[in-house]
Amino acid sequence: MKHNISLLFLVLTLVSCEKIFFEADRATNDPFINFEYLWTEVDEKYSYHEYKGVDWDAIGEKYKSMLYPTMSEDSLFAVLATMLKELRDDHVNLVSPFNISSYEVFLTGPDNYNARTIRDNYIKDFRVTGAFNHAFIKNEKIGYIKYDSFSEDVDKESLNYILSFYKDTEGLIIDLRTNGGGNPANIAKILERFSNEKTLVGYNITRNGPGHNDFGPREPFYIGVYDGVRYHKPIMVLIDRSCYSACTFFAFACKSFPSITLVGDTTGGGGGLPNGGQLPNSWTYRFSVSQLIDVDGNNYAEGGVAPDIQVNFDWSDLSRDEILDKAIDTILKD
Amino acid sequence: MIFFLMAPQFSTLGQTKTQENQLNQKNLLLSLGWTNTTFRDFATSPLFYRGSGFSLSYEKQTINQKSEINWGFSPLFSSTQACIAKSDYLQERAFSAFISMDGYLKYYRDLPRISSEKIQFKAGGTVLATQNIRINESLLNSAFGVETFLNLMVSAKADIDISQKEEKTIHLWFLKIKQNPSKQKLSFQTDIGLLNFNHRPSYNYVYFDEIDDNYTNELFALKEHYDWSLNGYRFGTKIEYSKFAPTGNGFKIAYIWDMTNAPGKHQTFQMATHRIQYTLIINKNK
Repeated sequence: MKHNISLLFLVLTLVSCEKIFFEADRATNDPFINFEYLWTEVDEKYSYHEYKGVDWDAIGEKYKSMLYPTMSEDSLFAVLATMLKELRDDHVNLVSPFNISSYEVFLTGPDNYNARTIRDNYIKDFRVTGAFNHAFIKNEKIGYIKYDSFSEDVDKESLNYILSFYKDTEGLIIDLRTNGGGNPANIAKILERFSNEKTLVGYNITRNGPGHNDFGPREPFYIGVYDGVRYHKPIMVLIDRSCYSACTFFAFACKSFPSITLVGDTTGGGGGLPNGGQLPNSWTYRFSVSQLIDVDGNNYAEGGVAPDIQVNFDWSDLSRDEILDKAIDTILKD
Repeated sequence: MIFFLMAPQFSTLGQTKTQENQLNQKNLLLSLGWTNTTFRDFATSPLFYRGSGFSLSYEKQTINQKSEINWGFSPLFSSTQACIAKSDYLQERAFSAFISMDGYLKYYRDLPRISSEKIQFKAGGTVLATQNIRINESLLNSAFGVETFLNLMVSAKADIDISQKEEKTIHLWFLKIKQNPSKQKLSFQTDIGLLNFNHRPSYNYVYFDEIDDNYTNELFALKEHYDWSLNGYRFGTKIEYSKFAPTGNGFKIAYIWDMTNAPGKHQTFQMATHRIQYTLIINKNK
């Protein structure tokens, strides 16, 4: 009996044994602790403090003064979300069960896409293949491909089909307007179809220390060559302010391809890859921790990739899409 | 030290098959367990995640008069939930799938000087490798968490013979249960990490290899911004009851506790698992 009791005691001791070794549970709704945690994470890991001229210390002081011990969760969310908006970055979000914060960079430029204009005046019927809606335009001289989101995975069979379908055209138009990004793995899957040789398009640098300018080594960003169906005639890529994140990465990489012309408005940016985390009150967040720089060392992707041909949509005449018209003219003129 | 301890075992490999069969008891051990997992990854969250799941295990065991060797692997599948402070506004919930694979090699030498007929003490070493994969969609771009541990551990074991020598009848209310003589054993085992390696995220990590067209392997891309470190600690204990049939087959019921603290280069990962495990012992000497 004595032995059995000893054994039971030993088992019970082991069941809670890790508590001796682990630090205390940090779950809390305390507004000061949550504020400090988020502020410190952004201070130590966010990648664009210097690039954007953000005085994070001053911002911290300003918003910390708005805290009080009995504040509601809604009020704390408002303070933290407004603080994060000072970073002017749509890769910076705070997620709670009742609200999600974002900067909404697309509001800093005009809308440049109207789906009904294209449907009513250019294309009656779209084919839908994988992640793409596509059709001939201009008497089958041009192939038009709409890619709505980089979150929709690109599969090689779909691209084989589409590029074979349009192989006799004079050019392609890839419409990325309102494409808010998604999985960046899809960038190379598309661009390697337009490539003749492995192409260095830029570098990624990731923050690696507590100083705002501490970054690791440059990691090359290559686009390879697809061993199969490819397309080598002129390509117009349509962009606008809603083209963000992976879409900006795509536009950025297009700059290294002579056969590709960017038409429309400057992209929304999002040149930093985000990383996510969780606060002691369980709300989650993410923010940029890297920067994208071009082959010459220029750092502009976060502010947006400018088009080669700047054109805006004229909302006074919904029968024409000026950006699409310009892309068509450029292909046919060539 | 592990290799030093194993050297005498390798020196016996030249024995004939017949001699080996006489000396070595070979068992195949197949296990199913219920697990309770706790972990905390400071790289992404200060919160503990806890939950239940199950584990499987495939193990081969060779026991002779001087030593014991066990090697095997054990996958664990668990669904965990963040331990969150109670909200008076709108309660948050966060879940993480937790998958872990252990691979191990254990070697024990008998310690006859301190052993008796009743209690047999053994000491040796363990090489333990663990790969975790965690999926937590609420962590947005850090939804995938992967970490690797490699531990060289010093191990000790005590086997207590609690065999039933004579036939026994148990009276349970109106039932009479007859128990035949059988070999039974109670074992206590402990492993303490001597060299604890961990492969953890660097200061920051992004999956840049996913973007670069050189990327070919998803796991490689996930671990691009990871570093190996030699720090932290790992402990394990096991309490096990075994019962054997005259054929040498049998079963075990065990309680297993395993705890890891891996500081990495920048932020700590902590993990503990509790496991109740049932094992079938299959005698491979027959």
